[in-house]
Amino acid sequence: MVVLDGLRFRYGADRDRASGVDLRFPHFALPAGGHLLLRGASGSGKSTLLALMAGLQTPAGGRLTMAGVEVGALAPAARDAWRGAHLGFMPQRLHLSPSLSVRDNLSLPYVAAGLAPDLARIRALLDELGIAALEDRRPHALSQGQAQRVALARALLRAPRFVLADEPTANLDDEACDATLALLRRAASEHGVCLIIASHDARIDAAWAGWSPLQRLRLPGRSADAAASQAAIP
Amino acid sequence: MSRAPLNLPRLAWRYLWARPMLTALNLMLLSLGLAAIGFVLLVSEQLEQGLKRDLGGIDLVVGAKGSPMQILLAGVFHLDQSTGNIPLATVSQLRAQPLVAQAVPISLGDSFQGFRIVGTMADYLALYQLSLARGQSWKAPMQALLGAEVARRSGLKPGDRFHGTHGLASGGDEHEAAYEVTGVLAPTGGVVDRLVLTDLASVWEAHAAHGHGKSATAGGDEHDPHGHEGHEGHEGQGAQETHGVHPDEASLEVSMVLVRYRSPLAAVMLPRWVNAQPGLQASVPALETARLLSMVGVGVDVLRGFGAVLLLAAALSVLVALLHAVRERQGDLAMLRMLGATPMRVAALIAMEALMLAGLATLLALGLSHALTAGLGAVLAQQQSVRISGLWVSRWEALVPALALGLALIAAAWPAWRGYRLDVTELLQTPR
Repeated sequence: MVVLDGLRFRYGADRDRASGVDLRFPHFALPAGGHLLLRGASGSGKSTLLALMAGLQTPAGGRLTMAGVEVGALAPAARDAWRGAHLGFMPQRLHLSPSLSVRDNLSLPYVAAGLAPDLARIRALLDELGIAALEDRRPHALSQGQAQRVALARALLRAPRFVLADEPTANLDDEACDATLALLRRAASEHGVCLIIASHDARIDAAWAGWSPLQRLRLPGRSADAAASQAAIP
Repeated sequence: MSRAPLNLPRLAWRYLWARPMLTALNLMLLSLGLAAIGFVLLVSEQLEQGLKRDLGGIDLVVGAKGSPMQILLAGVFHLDQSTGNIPLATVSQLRAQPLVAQAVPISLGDSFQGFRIVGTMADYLALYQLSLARGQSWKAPMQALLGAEVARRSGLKPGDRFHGTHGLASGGDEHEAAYEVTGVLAPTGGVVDRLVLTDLASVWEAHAAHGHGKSATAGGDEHDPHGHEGHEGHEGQGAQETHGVHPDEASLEVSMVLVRYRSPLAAVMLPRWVNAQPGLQASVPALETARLLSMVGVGVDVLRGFGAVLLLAAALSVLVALLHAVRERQGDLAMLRMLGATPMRVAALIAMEALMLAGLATLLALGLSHALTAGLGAVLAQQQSVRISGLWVSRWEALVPALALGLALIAAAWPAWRGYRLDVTELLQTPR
């Protein structure tokens, strides 16, 4: 489902080569039906790997294959289209637009891709997540939990193959953390999506300790300083 | 509106009105700037058109020595007093010139309810290509044709009688002899609508009957004797001794002669010849109107400059507002990119916001400029001067939307570029 093969990324690659910092990712393959929990200290490249998966960054070397597609090799517009169609995204801050109602916020995935919003699907997902009554509310009139459900609905709308979640439980109390994890896990099973979660929150490990499809990938962090990486690249 | 499914233009519209005060302010700035420019356009074009129409085919106006501008204003636009009188014989002298196609005398000085009575000849109708709406032209002295507006305001119709007033303002002494209305002219939109046309002899007769012992013209200038100096035998005479109806031609005077050239050569020769004659002054409408417009032009330029400054301020304000909006909505825009929007789509969203603002401003500005023009027209109509209509449409008004869209695009360029280059990976960073 996800294959990392000698994947490398260089910060500041478009600027001064010598000052670039090299990030090397371990070889890894996630089988179909599996879910991924990315671990690692901050600065270890969790966010970078998510950006590479979303096609927002380009690898400096190696390959990253998502469901058979080498995202980094796609043309920019094709990457955007691929991301819109196959990736759902749950950022740490939910980024619901304050100027738009819940329904209009949920229309954004369609608007972004130049499609007409599928209002029936929006309604169905809101129903499923138990927030159908909030359709006309603005985000500031939602509780944290409600807002998170809206964000999850937004991630699932276009029936993606992956849902990327970046620190989904940070800043949440234990109860909210449990609720969020339950929500994600249910969505994963009901919508058949592959969860990719980047987090250093130990509570996730504990909560999902016995969940067999979940694989853990610990990122080692920066493998070398600038001089060493300079030598390493032919 | 809120029920309609969202699309990119609707999203831009929502974002535009997410900050209603700021948007309203920008809209006002843009509209006022555009309206000022539209207003100047509408007024100056109508002014020029009006001047051109009132000039008809007149190539030269000959009057008594004095300011050529005054001669033009009095003889063609009927806005000023005449500079004095010239002998009627000047008409035949001019007609004898091979370069002259037409020479039509006019006599000014009397009015009716504030509308000027112009003594002239039947050629005047041909010169201005006037047609009758009702009745017929005059056949004898003391018969008159009314301009369309004179007829409308006074309610007079063919067969009615009225008394002329001495002087050009209403409220002067009334002449005893009454004019008989023989017809009403079709409206022209020009100054003729506000004139009463009659035979030259009527004016002489009116003054003779009145016993003023004045010449046919007079106006408010009360016969400045200097204007006649050197014109031996005629000074101060005029109709003075002509208490009869048909006085001696040699002593008769008119205010001005309107001349049409036969060939372009006349433009070089004739004014010089006229100015060489004692007591005569040539006024070339083409030159004088250019002078007039350049004087008016200062006001026009000031207004135009004012509009430009407003527009510049508006453009800057829109630029700042959009930049601010892009920064404020960075998360929203990055989310759009995350959801699959191309950078182009994000830039288009920002540009659309500016274009919508420009579109609204254009509509407001066009409405406002026409309303202002109509207001000015109403004021000027009360003063019975230049005619300006709020319904006038100029093809140069296309400049208003063009300017608005151009400015909007310029103002949106940088913010749209910022949107285009937006760093989406910030969404993935741990918030600070």
